[in-house]
Amino acid sequence: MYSPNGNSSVTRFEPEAAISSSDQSHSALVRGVRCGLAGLALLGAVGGTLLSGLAWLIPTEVVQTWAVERANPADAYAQFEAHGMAEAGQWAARWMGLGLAGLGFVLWRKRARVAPWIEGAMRGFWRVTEGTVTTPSGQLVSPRLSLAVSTLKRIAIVSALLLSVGHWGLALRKRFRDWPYYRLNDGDQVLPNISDSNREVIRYLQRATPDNCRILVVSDQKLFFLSYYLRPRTLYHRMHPTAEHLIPRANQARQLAAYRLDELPADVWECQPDYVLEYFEGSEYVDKARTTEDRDWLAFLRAYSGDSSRVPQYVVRLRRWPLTEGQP
Amino acid sequence: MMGFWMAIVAMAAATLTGWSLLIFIERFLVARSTTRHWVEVLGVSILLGMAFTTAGAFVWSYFGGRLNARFSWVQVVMALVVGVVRFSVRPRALPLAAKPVAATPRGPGALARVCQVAIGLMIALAFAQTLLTPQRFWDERAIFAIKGRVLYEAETIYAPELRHPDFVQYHPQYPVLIPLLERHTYALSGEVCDRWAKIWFPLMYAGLVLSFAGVLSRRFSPDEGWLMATLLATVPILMPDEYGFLCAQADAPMACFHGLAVLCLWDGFQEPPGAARRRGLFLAASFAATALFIKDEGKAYLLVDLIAWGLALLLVRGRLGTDQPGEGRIRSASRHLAGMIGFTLVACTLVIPWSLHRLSLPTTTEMHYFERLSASRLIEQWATLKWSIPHLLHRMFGEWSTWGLPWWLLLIALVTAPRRSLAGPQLFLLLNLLGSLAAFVVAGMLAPAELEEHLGGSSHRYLMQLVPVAILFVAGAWGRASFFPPRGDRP
Repeated sequence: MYSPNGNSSVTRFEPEAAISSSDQSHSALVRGVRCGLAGLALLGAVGGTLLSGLAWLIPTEVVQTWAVERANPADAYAQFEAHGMAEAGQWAARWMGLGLAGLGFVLWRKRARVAPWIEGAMRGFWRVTEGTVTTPSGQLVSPRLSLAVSTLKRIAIVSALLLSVGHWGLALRKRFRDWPYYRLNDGDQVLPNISDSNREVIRYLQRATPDNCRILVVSDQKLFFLSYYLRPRTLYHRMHPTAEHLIPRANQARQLAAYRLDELPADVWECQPDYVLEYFEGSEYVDKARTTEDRDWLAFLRAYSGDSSRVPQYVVRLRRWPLTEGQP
Repeated sequence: MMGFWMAIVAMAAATLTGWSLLIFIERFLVARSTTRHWVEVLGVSILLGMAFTTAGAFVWSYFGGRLNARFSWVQVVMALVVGVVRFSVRPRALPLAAKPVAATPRGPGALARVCQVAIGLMIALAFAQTLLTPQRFWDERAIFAIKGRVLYEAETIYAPELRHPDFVQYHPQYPVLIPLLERHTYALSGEVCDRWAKIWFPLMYAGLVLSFAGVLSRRFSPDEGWLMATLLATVPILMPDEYGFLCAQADAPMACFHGLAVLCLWDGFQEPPGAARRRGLFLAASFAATALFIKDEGKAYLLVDLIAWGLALLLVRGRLGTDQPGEGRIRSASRHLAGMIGFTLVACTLVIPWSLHRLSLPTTTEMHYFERLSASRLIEQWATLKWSIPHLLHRMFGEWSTWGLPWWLLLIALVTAPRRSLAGPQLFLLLNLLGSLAAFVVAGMLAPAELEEHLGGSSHRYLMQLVPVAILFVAGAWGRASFFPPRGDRP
């Protein structure tokens, strides 16, 4: 049986045995580490200097033009992304190149001191991953089995660490992709990760209603993002019982059941709203004739989208409540 | 940028709060001779500080106090003053010298040093990456950020919006640790900026990893402790996956506090009966209660902890951890039973205010798992297991390239160290993991939602919550209690 907690004579590290059975291969490892470290230091120093130098010399506009030319010309989002990523990449190259160069120079100067640490770490890894298969009394069962256990552990740990390196690389790339969209703006400015229609309705309500008002919404949408970005306005919405535990899908692929204004249970009005908003996007609830009913909304949407002939595909109708005389 | 600087201040104050609190707990529960490495002290302090900062705010508001900027500043100033005074007057209150259980003639080896550099770099990158995006996912805005914003604006947990069944928020009964942390940042900076409020999440990542590194280094050796902490820090689903510590959702915090609760239990079991074990159990109960204050899964984990503890005790016939020399099985088991009662009492006492307040919150969109739990429903939904178990196994083992290798590592640890895996504290961990997985499958049977959509859309996040326990199991199975660094290890 494998007993990592066996007696100390079994688990004690023997450097020579752990690294290699011969001094020759051990010293080859030492030489390898030192050469590798020197190579990395040189690469970092020279590469970092070149990278940073070029990034400082070349104007940002040149890099952006170069990146946009390579993006899909039919995809406006791809061009927008390329433009922003080029800017982020150039600033990263400027400063990270400098850092890399500095690190390379330091590593080159201190390589004689750093190399023993790396060798020690490798020896330490070898030692702590050594699996010794023993009997309950601590007797070694089989050197081959011990070797198999050690190898399995080492492969598993190294694989996990390598996989992580790959994920960190992908994550950093994702940050560059995110930069054009988010920059250092906060969520209220960007309204991230929501549908265009949600964004338009939020912007409209922000303009058309005062802060601290109470808005009762009848809708076939989940309104959590509206509620969040419209604070300090307070949104009330009586969810249809059959829609309570359903998750919406993109592009209205799932129609959620909803109350229409005249179907609302009486107790809903206890929230005493200042405004009532009808907002429907699903085909079962959108009456084409009603999409242009709210003149203020239509005017806002056309100005917001820069399209003076735009006809919305969904219903938005905001009314002051209680209804006053002459109000449609 | 004011929000950023205030977030830094809030973070430092919370850590100092936790540090002072930890000293207080140590003084009461542990003998003076106990020593802990500063890494362990820092990791536990970070998490304890966050828990206490929010619990303090909740209790203050529960008894009618206003959650305004003045209250937050009082919390910060008190934390800074008490922390600095503590630090300068009694610098040796918690000796900073490492004294691992495993005798180490010298300090950390080169492997530990290299892992420390890697972890430091990852923590720094975690902060940078987290703060590069505002809050942008469904749960983080629909459940938590909206509550945080209302708490900031209304300055009370009794905000009428939060108690109105038609107010637009998801899961009105979800606990409020995350909203209260975000509110604290807004109150200090005087404005809502959901980007800087995310600073708490990489801090939790740091707290989790440092706590693991400290405890495992003490329990085994610095090299092994830091290597296992590196393994934990590099599990992709925790970091740098978008739904891990990089976002402001509750799954990674659950992983953090539930993981730490189990770590403290596991650590406590290995102490002989007495002050050090009581300390472990007390901290475990505090962190389990904090997990319950983050998300409703905390209730299930509390139950799972107790069931796994009891079952393990039965299976090993009373010898779960380190006993007093010559102590009989019945005596040992009765000590554990007393421990279980104490653990439950402390955890339940800490969550009383929240549990009472929760009763007054609306139930819209809640799943009501516990209310739906009945034998007839479980029998009725038995067929769902045909889908949910293979799905879970596929997520754990088949999608390794996306979520990481912790479950494969656990399997390999089980195969390569079977005797150790099925004994004492390791058996507790194994049962804990199995219980947690079973709880998820049962939740699928009870939820009033489409099974594949409900479980399929959340299983990766649920498994993330169990990752620290899985890595702890691996560390326990592979760790060596006796360790002597060889000559020539350090330059």
